Amino acid sequence: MRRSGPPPRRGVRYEPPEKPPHLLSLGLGLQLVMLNISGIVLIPKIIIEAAAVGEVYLSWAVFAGLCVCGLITVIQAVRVGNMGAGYILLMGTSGTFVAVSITALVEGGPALLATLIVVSSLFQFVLGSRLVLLRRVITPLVAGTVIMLVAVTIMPIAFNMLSRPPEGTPPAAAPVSFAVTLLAMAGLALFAAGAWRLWGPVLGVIAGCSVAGYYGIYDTARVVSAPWFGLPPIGWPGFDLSFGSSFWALLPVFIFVVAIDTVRTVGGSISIQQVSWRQPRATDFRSVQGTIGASGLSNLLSGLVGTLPNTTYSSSISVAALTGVAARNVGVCVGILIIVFSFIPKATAVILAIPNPVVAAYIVVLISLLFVVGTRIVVRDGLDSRKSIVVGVAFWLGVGFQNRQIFSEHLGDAAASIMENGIAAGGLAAIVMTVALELSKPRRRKIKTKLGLESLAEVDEFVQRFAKDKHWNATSTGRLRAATEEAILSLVPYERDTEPEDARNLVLSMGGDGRKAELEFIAAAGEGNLEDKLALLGQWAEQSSDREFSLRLLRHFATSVNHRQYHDTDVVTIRVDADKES
Amino acid sequence: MKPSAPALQKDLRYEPNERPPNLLSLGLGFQLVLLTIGGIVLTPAIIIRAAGGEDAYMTWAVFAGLCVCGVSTILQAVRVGRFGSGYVLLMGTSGVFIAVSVTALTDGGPGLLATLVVVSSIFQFVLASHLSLLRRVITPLVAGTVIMLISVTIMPIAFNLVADAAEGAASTGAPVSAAATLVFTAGLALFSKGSLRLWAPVLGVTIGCIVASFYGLYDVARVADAAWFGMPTSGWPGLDLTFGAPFWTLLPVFVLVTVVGAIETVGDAIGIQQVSWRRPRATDFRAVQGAVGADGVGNLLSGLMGTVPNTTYSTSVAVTELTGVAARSVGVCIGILFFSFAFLPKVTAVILAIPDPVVAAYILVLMAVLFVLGMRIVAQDGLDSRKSVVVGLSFWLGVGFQNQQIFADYMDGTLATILGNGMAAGGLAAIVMTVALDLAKPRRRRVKAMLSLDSLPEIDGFICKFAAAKDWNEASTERLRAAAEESVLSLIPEGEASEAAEARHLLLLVRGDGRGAELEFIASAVEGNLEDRLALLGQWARRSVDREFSLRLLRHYASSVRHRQYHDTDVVTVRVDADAPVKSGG
Repeated sequence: MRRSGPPPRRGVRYEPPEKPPHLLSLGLGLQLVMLNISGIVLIPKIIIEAAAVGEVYLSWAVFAGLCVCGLITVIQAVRVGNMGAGYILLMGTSGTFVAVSITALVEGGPALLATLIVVSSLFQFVLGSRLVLLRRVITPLVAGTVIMLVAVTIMPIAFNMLSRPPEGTPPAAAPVSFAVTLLAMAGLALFAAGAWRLWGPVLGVIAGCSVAGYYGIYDTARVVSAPWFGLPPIGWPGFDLSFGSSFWALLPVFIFVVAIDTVRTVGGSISIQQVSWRQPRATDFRSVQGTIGASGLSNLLSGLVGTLPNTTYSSSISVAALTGVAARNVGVCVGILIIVFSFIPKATAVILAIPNPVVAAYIVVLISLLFVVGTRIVVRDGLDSRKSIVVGVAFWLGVGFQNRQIFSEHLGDAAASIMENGIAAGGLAAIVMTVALELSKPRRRKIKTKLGLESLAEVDEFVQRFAKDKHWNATSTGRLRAATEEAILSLVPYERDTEPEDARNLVLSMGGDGRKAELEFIAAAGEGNLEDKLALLGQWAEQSSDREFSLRLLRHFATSVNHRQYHDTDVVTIRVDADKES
Repeated sequence: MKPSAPALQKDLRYEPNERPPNLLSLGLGFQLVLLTIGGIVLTPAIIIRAAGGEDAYMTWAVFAGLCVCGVSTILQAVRVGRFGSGYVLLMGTSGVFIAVSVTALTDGGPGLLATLVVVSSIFQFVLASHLSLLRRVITPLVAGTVIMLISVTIMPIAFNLVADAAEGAASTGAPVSAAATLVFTAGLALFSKGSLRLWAPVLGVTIGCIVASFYGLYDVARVADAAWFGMPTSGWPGLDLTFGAPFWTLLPVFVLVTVVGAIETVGDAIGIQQVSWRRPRATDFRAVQGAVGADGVGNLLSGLMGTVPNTTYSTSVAVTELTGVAARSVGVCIGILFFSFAFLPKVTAVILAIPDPVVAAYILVLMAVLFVLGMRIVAQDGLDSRKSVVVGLSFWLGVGFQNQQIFADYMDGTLATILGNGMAAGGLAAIVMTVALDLAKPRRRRVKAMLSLDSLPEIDGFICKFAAAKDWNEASTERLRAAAEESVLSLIPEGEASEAAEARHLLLLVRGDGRGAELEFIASAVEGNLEDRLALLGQWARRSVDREFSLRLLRHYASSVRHRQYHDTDVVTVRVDADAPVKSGG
């Protein structure tokens, strides 16, 4: 009997290379645009209004942002050279950058922001070619903590929008439209099923706007006065090439945020691959790298034309999973439609006219969910007491510095502008603690071989050497050897008729001390750096299956056994405890 | 073959009933007291300093707090009637009450605080006899969110302590001693092993104090002035029996915090049982109830004596596990030692003289860990997108209301006081959403039977009825029936050697939704309300074993299989997806 793979996805109607009818592509594309356009337009609005830069720059940033998003969405779908995923991955303005962008705008205006985006986008290209960096430095612990802190930095901005109600309006207008938007969004997210859930945010905003319109705080004049077609006045801010102190202080924070966004892009790229094919296949890492490359290109362009950074939106994944249409055509349609929208000021005006209380409620719900995404990433691998300290202390130091509650008057200028950004302070603390913890661990031993009965002797010798070095006694060593053998046997396919070309590679890494040993068996087809691949999959993908072996024999020898299975890779982790020396 | 039982704890030297030499009990007791007395003395000090209370009241609160902790620790160890767990469970002043107690002190003074503590302790007695309340209303989602919000409300108090201190003395003294405390506490907790880790907070604070004394921040005069023996003669605040507006607005918050605090007690009471016996035994729920009850007695006494509430400290679980001594006499020694320390003002002065920046760093670490505990509780059953909405939204509404960022000017009077407290606002939001979600779910069908081959037809009939009611097609129904049969077979011990006396009870719960069905099989040796017990164990205890079946046959029929095993109870959860209703062509 072969290892049971994940079952085929019955719901996929069109795989990426297939061509659905044009009308279907266009209809789905329109739906995706409707779902996401409010986010793409509202995030620049929030940033630019919070920094009080002005209307001309706002309309330019929205126009340019839509153009860039549209273009890159097309590139993600069709792949140009190394760039692009080859899947439907919708690009939109990134929420992660809200707080840092506001700081940049306040400190040096749109030109400084543009320069920072251009420079930090270069790092995204570096990350795209070196995914390992994501594994070693931006671990899930770090990324999750930072994502939680992103929520901490954005929430006050949303709450702040509530404290500035439009003048001369009834006192109930702001609270009621805020509450209606919030309730409608939360209600749909909680109780609706299927496609209704996806539409929750849009319907919530529409409900809020209807109430706001009743109170007269929806800016109808703006919509009426906007032309049907046209270009905004040129608001291109150019670049700030003075590279002053605020540039250098903000650059590390921008790079950091870019890295975090990249992590989420990796997750999105892996997920879209999982829902796009009828017959599940191994994750294509070139596609992941292409996705990151296209995101980098997107940020580069955003900086060059003077708008805000972009990232992949995960709603395209849920829509593809729901509708079963994963065809690239849809991605092309979405991109073209977004570009078309940017030339229709009337359409963007409809969104820009949404009053502040409604926008605030929308942001509160979205960022609350982002916060929980952060907690899930942090918790996913299990939090022991050490990891708890890392996450807790880093998070709260971030909050303390962000709110200037920790010794703000004692910090010098440069230190102050870095540390007063909660993302930088908390992220730095998390990285330092994670790296220190990693370095304090004993080094792991490693052996590479073919997965087969022939390798048993070689692996056995390796395990014996470990036991001898750590002074395990005879019974414990016996148990360790037996457990190792059982684990390998369980990974070797049952039937002997599997062909030799089907043989898989095995990497065994083990760590431990005089009292316990932890063995990790990685079996995979194909060459390449198994561990890096695996770490990325394990860290950022939702696991396809996560199960434990319950082979009675193995249980008998080992204290704990854990088996994770990805498409073409099995990972078995076992722990063996040594007897206490008396 | 029997389901494999957890391994014997060979390292355990003394079970609760055994008597170690008196000197050993005393020594271990002393160690536990040293580990925890800092926290016990500092909690009331922080509350009263933050509220700007008088020194006389603080001295009294510390004295009374130590006395009450001593009494309730002894009560936990020896069990009197229905009160007490019968294990070494150390009681100390409770950190989760810091923020609400500060509010009570500023709004109405010590009298109001005392009344609130007394009244809310009554809820703890109710809880002790109705543990199922914890399952129905305070789900892990609600409790975790509230615990996260507790640290949100307490953190600003810690940050303020640092800021206030910085305004005074040598400008670098405060930040440096705070940083030293933080770095050493976190560093020891991260990099040390075994018993040294337990000492991380104590050592961190000690190092912080040494650094602070270089800057002259440590209050040596206070220690020098304190008498060796004695007790404070004044300071008892009495009770505020006016029951005015502040009482009624703060009561719901106190009750919520009390209930959430009781959850930690439940966790500790289960935890200590798991480490106290050589041969692992089923969790004794009367001991859990006794622990919660004794906790209630502790709070009642605290209120009457005019000090802050107390709770179990999980340190005792960790120490018991490390030393292998679980004997009750240790608990008695700890209680007696606490009681004696209350009469040694010199000792408490050493702790009270710790400067604010050091205290702040200590709280930062403590509350940071509490925050993460909240996250873990929230996430332990897996967070789907609906639960994410509940947690995210109620947490941030809590934060927004706590910081008065959400329409603070529009609210007045009572509403403002209740919603102005982040825990109340967020907890309320979480409860409302959880209850609404629960009501919206389809009801579960259930069947009870003995776990044996004879019950198979009965279960099969039940499954068929379910599938028929849901209009499943034939192929899907077959799969569901096969999966149910496989699951039952997998729970029945292999080989007919096991005697009929060992027969276990089986409870099967089935819930259908749009796409499939979820079957939960609960097999247990004991009668009684299996679900309530199980829910408590599953929600609040650290799981002893959490594994998945990988029976190939079962996997073949079901889309997911999960097996949890507690001491005497197996739970198998199987999900079977129905075929898509319409299959066009082919």
